[in-house]
Amino acid sequence: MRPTYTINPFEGARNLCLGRVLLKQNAAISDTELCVGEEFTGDDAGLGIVGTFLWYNNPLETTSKAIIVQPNAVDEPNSIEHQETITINTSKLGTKEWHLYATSGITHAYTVARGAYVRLYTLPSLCSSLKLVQQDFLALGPTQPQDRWFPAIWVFGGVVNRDDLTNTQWIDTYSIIVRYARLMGDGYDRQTIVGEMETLATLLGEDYTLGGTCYDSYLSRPMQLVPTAGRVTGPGADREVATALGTQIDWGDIYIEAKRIAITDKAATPA
Amino acid sequence: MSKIWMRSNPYRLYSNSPDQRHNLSVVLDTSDIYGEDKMGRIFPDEESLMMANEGLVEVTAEFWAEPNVDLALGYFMTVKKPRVLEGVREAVTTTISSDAVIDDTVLSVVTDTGFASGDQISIKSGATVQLCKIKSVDTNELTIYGINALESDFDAGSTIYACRFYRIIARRTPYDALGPYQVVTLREIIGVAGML
Repeated sequence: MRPTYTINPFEGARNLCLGRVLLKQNAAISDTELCVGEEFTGDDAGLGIVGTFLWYNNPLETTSKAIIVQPNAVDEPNSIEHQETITINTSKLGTKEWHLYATSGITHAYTVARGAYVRLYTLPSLCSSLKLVQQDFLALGPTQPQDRWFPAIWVFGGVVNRDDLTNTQWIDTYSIIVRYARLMGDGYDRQTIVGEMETLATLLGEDYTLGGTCYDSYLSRPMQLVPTAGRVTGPGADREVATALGTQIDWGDIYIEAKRIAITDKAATPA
Repeated sequence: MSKIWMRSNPYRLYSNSPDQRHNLSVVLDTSDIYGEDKMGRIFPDEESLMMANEGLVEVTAEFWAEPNVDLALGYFMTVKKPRVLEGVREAVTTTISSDAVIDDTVLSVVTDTGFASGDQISIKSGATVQLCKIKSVDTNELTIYGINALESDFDAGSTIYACRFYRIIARRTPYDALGPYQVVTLREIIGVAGML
């Protein structure tokens, strides 16, 4: 199947929750083009995905600046090798360009292998307060959640529907759930999680290519809180949901439908 | 304490602590806590046989260990088959005596003492590990089932243990319990990279 996407929409949404869009190609010193979108080559030359909507008329970002970050070789939280603030060339910010352009050349190199990314200049407080952003539950297995992991986000889903588009193309619809969870400490008010989830829905909704990973996406349900905070209830189930230390957890889900194109790839002559 | 040592098994304990990355995702990191075998005793857990779970009976095991060992929920454990040689209780282990290659089902070993038909064994050479099951044992020769035929080459000197792998899923005694032992419930797993 073509084209070859570098990142899946789950990972795109996961990084968006942190106010980040991953670089899809390396950036060298003095480059002004920062490849945050997908730009296909070969048989798919001309096709691409815009990766700049996070910065384009976004109510969460009022400057024309962004920060490009190269994480350290030691892959740890807050461990950064170098980063710099860039001024965005707003005349090239739109749907005619796949990528983000700086007004002047960058002063360091940034590599895809290291997980380099461009982030919002002013991060919403929600993004900087996150302690865990996990793509699925599998890695953690049955481990009991720790208090220090909250506020936390899990991005998961598993359903991808494939529908006809043309006689050689399909449209794949990814169903993504972004689950936001926080602790119910002293003085907890449910209005808190409502406000935070509204910020999250804005982040995810403003960038409808999910960080340059899909052609289109929309929030099919911007917020659905668990009916009983800190508990799972239902037929045959009524239990507290808490961390290893017993702090109750409240959570809500944001539902996203993301669309990508798949093209049949049959060679003209057998290999 | 002697209650544990009678019919006890050598076991090795692996922590399963979360390791967080720059992008705030978490991966589990398996590491050998003590770097040596401890002794404990494994029992069938009769209660578990009664717990029907959607038609499947979940089989777990009960494990008794010394109180000064960190047995935490989620940790992994390799429980080795024991043998007594010259009065010393130790793990059933041996090494391969001549190079074995892919698709081999007969392994020449230095000693077959303690190995028996039906044992699950772990063959390890550096980072390469294979689990298989013994079909029959002859003098210094282990025959494994054809379906477990070697998937890699194992040079002479590669180690073999008769062992099973478990995850700690529950504690029967609180951490501060007074007494000569602590009790946990184990569930058998296939094994995790990094374990023996």
